[in-house]
Amino acid sequence: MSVAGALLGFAYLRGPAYFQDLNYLKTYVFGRGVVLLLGTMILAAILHARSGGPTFIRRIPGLTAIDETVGRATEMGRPITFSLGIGQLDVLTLQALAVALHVVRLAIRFGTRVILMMRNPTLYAVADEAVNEAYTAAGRPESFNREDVRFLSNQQFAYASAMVGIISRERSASNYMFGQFAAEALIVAEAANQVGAVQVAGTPTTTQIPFFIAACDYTIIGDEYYAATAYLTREPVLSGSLVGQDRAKMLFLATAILGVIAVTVLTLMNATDNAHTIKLFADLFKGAK
Amino acid sequence: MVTFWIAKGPALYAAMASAFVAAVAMLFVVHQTNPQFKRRLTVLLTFLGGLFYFMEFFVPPNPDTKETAILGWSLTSTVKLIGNATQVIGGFTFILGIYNLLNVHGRNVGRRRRDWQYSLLFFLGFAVMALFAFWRDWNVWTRPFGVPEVGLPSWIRDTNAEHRALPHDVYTFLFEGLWRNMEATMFSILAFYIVSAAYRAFRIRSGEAAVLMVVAMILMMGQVPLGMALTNGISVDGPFAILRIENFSQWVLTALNGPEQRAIGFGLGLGLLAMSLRIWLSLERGTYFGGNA
Repeated sequence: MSVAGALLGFAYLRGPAYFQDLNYLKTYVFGRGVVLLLGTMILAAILHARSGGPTFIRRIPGLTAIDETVGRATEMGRPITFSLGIGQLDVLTLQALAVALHVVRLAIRFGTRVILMMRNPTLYAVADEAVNEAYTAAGRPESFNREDVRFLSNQQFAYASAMVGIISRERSASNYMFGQFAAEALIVAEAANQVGAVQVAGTPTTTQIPFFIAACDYTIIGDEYYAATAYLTREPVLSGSLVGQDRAKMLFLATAILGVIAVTVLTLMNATDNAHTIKLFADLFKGAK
Repeated sequence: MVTFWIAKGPALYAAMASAFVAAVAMLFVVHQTNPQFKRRLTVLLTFLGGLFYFMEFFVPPNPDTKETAILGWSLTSTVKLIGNATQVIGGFTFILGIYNLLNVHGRNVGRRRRDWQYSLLFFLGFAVMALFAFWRDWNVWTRPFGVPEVGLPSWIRDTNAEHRALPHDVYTFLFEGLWRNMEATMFSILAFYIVSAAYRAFRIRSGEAAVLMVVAMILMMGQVPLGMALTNGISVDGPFAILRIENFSQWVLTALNGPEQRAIGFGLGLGLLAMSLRIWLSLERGTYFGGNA
């Protein structure tokens, strides 16, 4: 933060003339400053947790159910199906892959089969290698079946129909859906429901959350999705980043409350003067790019 | 757009061959190194790649050109160049995806597993679609190689839709006639699944399900004439206008649902930021490779 402040001061004094324009700073610098502040808060929390600081993570039922659902598949002698959604190889899908690997590592211990399905070929290359390494790390490389990591199609509904087919034919005992989903979400979830699979779904796509809530046994929503690896592993770095996220959320909440108060006061005072201090605060977040 | 060099003619083929040889040599060298070095190299490259995007985002742009630059180096243009390179790398991985499909279905056919006929159908569809797609666009993909059109038989050359040419007709039949309709069929199944999922969700088994049911009823009634007729007696301009079902359902959407969606969005944004930081700084080590989650 101090480096960023020094650079900004240098840009103000010696940089282009537009750095001295208050409107430019408000439009192009303020928003970046906020993101930098949030990032710094998260990093500080990670460092604190790494140095042994205590962290507490509340219970998330959907993630707690993962052990139970893997156990169910083992008892029933039927495979687990795991869909990584329709996303590209990005942060969202990497989070889904992290949960998938946790399920795979658990399933290896019980000798249960996990069929991992994806739409993106780049993701397939990474997932295939990661699952292979999970089997090797568990000392059971011979149990790894390359056919269980499946690239199905890069077309949305071809992918959905292939998933429905696999779930129906294999009669999966537990079905996981993590990642980005669109219209195919409910089609797949209902197909899994018809074969009696216990389902855990997690997505950052808010439009699909109602469908998952309706069709699945456990649904992970909002930032719980990104808390998954921290919750499952209790790794200090990951837990620390959750604490940082929560602190950043507090900052958002405080700003929102202050904003509501500011706008209410302005309305009550009927203030129209643009130079008014409260008006300046209320307008601070407008138009940032 | 940053352009280093545009190759044409023989130079293009020389550049392609050189790039291929250099990539293979680089892969060979990396393959010979020990796992620790590979891990460090991955960490370094991830950090450098992330640093570039970090700079591109955090350095404020020129308000006139909307471009971000450091000491005359346009980061905005370089982002596009890197985007193109990433797409090329992604294109290579597509071959791996196809290999996976051929492998799985090939084994199904070879070992006569249950429903192996469907795998045969996959090969048939794959081959026919590829053949007619390449045939239809043959002049597009052979152009860089300088294949002359003169001298080729007309049944190869003629892909013009107006001439009712074979490759164009077959491709259109496969793509527009079959594939699009099959896709639409899959999508339409959603309508039936919505009903069955809604039936289960609306059974009042808990407090949350009851809230879901009540809110869904309000929203549905707010959309249909029958619902609106129920509250037609309330004056549109009166103090109780909010209680008209269409106004109340709108209020539920904008005053209750909207802020909640935004709150979820804030949480997701922060989660994304934290996850990106962890990946950039390689703090997620052990999650994907070389560890236990």
